[in-house]
Amino acid sequence: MKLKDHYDVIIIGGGATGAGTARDCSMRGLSVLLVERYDFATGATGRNHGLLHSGARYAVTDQESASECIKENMTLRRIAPHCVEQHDGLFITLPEDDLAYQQLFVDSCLKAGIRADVIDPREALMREPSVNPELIGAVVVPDGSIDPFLLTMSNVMDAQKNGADTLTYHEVTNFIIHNGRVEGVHLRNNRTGQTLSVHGSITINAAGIWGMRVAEMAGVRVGMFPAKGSLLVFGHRVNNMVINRCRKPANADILVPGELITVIGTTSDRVPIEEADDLTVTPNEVDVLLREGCRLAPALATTRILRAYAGVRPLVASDDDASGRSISRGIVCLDHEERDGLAGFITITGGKLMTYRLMAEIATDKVCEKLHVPRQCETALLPLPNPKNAGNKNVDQPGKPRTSPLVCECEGVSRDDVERAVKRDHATSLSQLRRRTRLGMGTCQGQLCAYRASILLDEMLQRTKAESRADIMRFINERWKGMAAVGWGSTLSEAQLIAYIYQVILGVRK
Amino acid sequence: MKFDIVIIGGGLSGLTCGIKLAAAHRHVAIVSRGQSSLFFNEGSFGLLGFDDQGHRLDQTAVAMTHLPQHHPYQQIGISQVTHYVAEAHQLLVDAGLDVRGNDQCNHTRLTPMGVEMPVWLSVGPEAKDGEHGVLFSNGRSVQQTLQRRFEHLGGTFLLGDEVIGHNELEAREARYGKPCLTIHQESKEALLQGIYTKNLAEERLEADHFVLATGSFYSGGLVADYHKIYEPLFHLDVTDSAAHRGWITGSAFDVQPFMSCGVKTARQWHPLSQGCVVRNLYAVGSLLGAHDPTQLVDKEGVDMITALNVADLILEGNHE
Repeated sequence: MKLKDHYDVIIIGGGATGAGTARDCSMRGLSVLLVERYDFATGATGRNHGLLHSGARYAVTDQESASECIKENMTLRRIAPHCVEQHDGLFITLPEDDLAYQQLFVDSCLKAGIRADVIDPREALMREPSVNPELIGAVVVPDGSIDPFLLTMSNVMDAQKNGADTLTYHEVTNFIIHNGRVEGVHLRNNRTGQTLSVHGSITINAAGIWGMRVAEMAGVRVGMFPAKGSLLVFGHRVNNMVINRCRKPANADILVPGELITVIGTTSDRVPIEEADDLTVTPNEVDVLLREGCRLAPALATTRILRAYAGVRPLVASDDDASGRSISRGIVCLDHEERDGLAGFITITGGKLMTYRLMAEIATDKVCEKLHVPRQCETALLPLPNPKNAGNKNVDQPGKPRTSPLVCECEGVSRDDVERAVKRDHATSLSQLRRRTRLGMGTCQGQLCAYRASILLDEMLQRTKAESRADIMRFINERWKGMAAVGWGSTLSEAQLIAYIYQVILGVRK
Repeated sequence: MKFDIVIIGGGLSGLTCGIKLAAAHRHVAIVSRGQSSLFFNEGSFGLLGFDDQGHRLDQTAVAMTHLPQHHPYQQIGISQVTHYVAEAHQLLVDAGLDVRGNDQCNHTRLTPMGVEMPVWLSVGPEAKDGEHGVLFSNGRSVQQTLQRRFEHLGGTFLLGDEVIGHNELEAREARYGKPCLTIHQESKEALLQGIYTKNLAEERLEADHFVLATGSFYSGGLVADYHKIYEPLFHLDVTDSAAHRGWITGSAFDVQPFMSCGVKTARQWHPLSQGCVVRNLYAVGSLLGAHDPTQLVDKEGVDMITALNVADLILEGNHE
């Protein structure tokens, strides 16, 4: 790709917020460069519940977040139907909870504009048979689930269509600052080590928790609280509706179904920023998730756990509260010209996956104000493209036989899907294929498909055997890490077979 | 129904044991769920491919003498193992398999990932460089060939049947009034009287000797739950019953403690139940712990050699 000499906007971070901001800026006619140090959706974007929040969870404690959520929830259903499953959610009250909280909860939901219907516990059991039958109260809210990988790629694709340039595996190593103004960034290609510099009028820091370091590099301080959240993925879909506890938000009280699986989460613990790059789910966190999860749906006790994973929320301390006592989960947009006297630099952070579009809109509004571009935001009106359909004549139709053989049975990824991810989305490794197609995310955790997909990558990219072995080792290791945290039952048996296939049969060894 | 020997598990170790015993004109039955780890084999037999430092081994007979004392080969005795290596090789040839390789040193198998792996015996067509094979095609035909050989020798292969495990056993025992495993705490000995299976609803399978060849975790011979590792059929004692946090490490290509888990055995591969030796039961193959087949690449060797050893013990015992 040939880069431009100068961009209106340089966006740092290829998560949902960065991708959404690239889309919004490019739709308003700005020239955009998006840079990401690894692959799209490798940070917190790809490490959460995949919950399409109704906002009900925040209704009692944070009305502002709650109304933001429900608005964005409705918007996403409209603009990204291909990323969304609409199945509603339950907020259940168990015998150990205070039933009086339910009324406060419902009142707060209605005040924030969230539909909240109290139903009889028996009806709740009929609608959601997996729910804990001990429940004494149930409220239905418009929760759903969302595929964050697909959502991010849809935004990236739309931004590219509108002329945005994107650079993955490019990390910002420093800023170009002249006379108190950020005029661009120095980049390092994390694959080749090559360095380059790009210039832009405004640089947006949308790097999530890593935005803390990005800001530091520019010489400004953003007080952030890295909050680690751990989750477990179960081997099949236990519930059809999201199940929440009707009480003040606590650990492990959301159970989210998504396509073929179910996810329980999360824990919440402050971690040092250094840990954000290499998160491990601890035995204690697994125990908490399992214990609390079983209170929501008792079947979880006997359901196979595929893996454990964790992400880091970018919580922000407000400027006048350095102690961090009043941490907000709300959106924070910092104009560093106003705040720190550093022109041409904006940080957009805080928020949630649910509000990524609104965050993008706020950041882009700020850019337009500074560049005197009068165009209005249209991202809530115009639908997002579906990367699965674009440029693909052989879209799988329900009821029609597949024309392309399956590479990954668990997630239904075909040879065509792999070829498209390589040719159109420039995937060059198994992990990138996984984020674009869900390959290897299912029951067998890459046991069979990693090898098959690796053959296809070899053919298409003319990789050497040594390169493809290194890629398989990275991929299997990454899957293994998540399995090891829940290393018992079928997960342990599956791990033994994975080791036998890759180390003994295929000879991929240390 | 009464047999001389009933073998539980129709994989490589069960079939090897069954073939040898049937060839010696014993009345043998194998109970098989239908799928074994042979289905995930590439048609290659590992005897001892690497040492525990990860060094590739060529002279297998020499390298065996350096194995730790608890390795199954050392427990049998290396000179005896050398004899069984030749016997196992011949057993595969007699079954009609086209086998390459020799018993003193490993040859090289080129894997589809372009790695040269040390291997004792190979079955099936040789892979060419750069060629991607269909995985697991050879192992299945090895299984079928060995099963045919066993049946040809007069063995009874109860395919698609399953032994009733410990958890459901009490109901069956209560119904027929015949316990399976009787334990004598005073003499520290136990006896397996018979087994019940899913398909044979009305009768008990009885035998003078039973061989447990149910494999490791992925074959179901061992089970790990949240609290412990156990042997699901008879709740035999296992070598590792510690809490689950230490079984597996976070790095896939490091040594994994769970790989060396197995049932505890006394002399002559008799497993233990609550510390008592089960006198007419033998454990063979991957169900035995004390070695890491992923690290050493010795899985098929241990499967066949322990199976041949147990067959000898049973045959010798009958002469007494």
